[in-house]
Amino acid sequence: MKDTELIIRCQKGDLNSFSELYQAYKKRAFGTAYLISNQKGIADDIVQEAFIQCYKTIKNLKNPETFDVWFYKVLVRTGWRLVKKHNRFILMEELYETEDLNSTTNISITKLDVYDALEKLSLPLKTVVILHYFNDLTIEEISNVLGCFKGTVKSRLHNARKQLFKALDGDAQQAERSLVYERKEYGFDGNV
Amino acid sequence: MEMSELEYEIKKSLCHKVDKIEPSEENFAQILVGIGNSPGRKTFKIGNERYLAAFLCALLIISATFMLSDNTRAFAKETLSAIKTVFMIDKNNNVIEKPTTYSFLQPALNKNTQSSDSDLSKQMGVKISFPQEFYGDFKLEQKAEAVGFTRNIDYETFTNLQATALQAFDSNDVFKSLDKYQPYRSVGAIYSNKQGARISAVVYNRKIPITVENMNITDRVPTKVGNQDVEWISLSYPVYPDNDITKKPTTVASTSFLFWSIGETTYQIWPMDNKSLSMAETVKFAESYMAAQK
Repeated sequence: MKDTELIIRCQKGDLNSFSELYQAYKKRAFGTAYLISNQKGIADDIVQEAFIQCYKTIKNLKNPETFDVWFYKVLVRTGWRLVKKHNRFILMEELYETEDLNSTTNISITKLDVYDALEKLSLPLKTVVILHYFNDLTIEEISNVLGCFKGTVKSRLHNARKQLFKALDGDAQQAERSLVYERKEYGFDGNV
Repeated sequence: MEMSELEYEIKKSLCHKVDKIEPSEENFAQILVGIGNSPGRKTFKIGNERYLAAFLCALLIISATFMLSDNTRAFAKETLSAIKTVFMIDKNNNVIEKPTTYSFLQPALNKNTQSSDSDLSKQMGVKISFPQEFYGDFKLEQKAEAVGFTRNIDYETFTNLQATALQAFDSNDVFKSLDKYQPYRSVGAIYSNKQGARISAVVYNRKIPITVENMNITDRVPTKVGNQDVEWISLSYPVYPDNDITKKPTTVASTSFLFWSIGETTYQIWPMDNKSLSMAETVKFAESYMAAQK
């Protein structure tokens, strides 16, 4: 997704390049904003504010190669601020709008449960899950986006998965047993 | 449920959740508005040269072409009520003032583009080819695309249409929603040679009438490009400070260009500096350009 030349042109104030940048990032940015806010209207606001901020401050980005992390940082901060401002709660209607309620397959039930469970996570935990599973960011990249230690990211991811597992499976002990294996996988000894 | 299964479900569910929801089509227009109102609006000046060059992307630029960068910010938030009049010229080239509700504009929005010829062809529904170099040493400088209107509308109406017109660049549905204003798309390219001559070639995906109230046609000379009947049109037009029609024109300029339609497609070949290419030379350039379209 990175395009260093494009970023450099944006840093020079080229609006055409900025338009290209928007086209390249809008879907993923909107998806991230929507998952954080769970409301389309707020997600649109987040995307707009994040790109405005991006345009205004991109010239301060020293290394264009790090644009992704820098942009997600702007996006997530904007998202958190607007979500807190709106103080919205989960609107289950929105979930139902995108689901086939007549479906009785396990997959549909699981999806609904995952949404439900995800919305019950705190904003920091939910954000880590979104950045990791939706944006495919590494632990290190997430730590840069959120401005925290890698250990904190690992811990949040661990806790988030534990809560999600528990919510979906209902077996706390099973969750803990599974997470022992997973803890090694994600390098809680310090290695990712 | 195993942990790997959980991770798979999380990933799948997140993607599924956003899959059917699209960002608002107004988002980019709103972003431009936000940028335009920022204290950092001067940064637009840097890129403005590019838009100025794209100025030639429409015939009706002479009447009123609103460049994307300047006018997005100008139209978006400036208090319309504070603008009472716009300026135009009468049949004798005298500058006159008209109310903002006076319908005399056939405006267009331009932006530079880096889209390929094939992408532009798809968007236009017409084969488009802008060779990198042709007709001697004329080289491609830049390409631009525009969305404009052939129906006469007033300044206020266009002000309100701005955001929608911006969206129409990327959305055919939005473009169609503007049907009552008789919208068109155009793409153009500017070529220059070592002698400093600059010439633009523009293709419109609609038959464009050549009667615009805000310019005075002074001459129409029939000629041919290959076997195609075309016209060499000369006209005068007001030159506005900052291309802002609410400001009194600084001068009335004149120019000439080749203009013709084939079916619903309209072509324009315009020597930009008025002096370097005669009608006969412009015809040769046009023939070379049309040969490249086959």
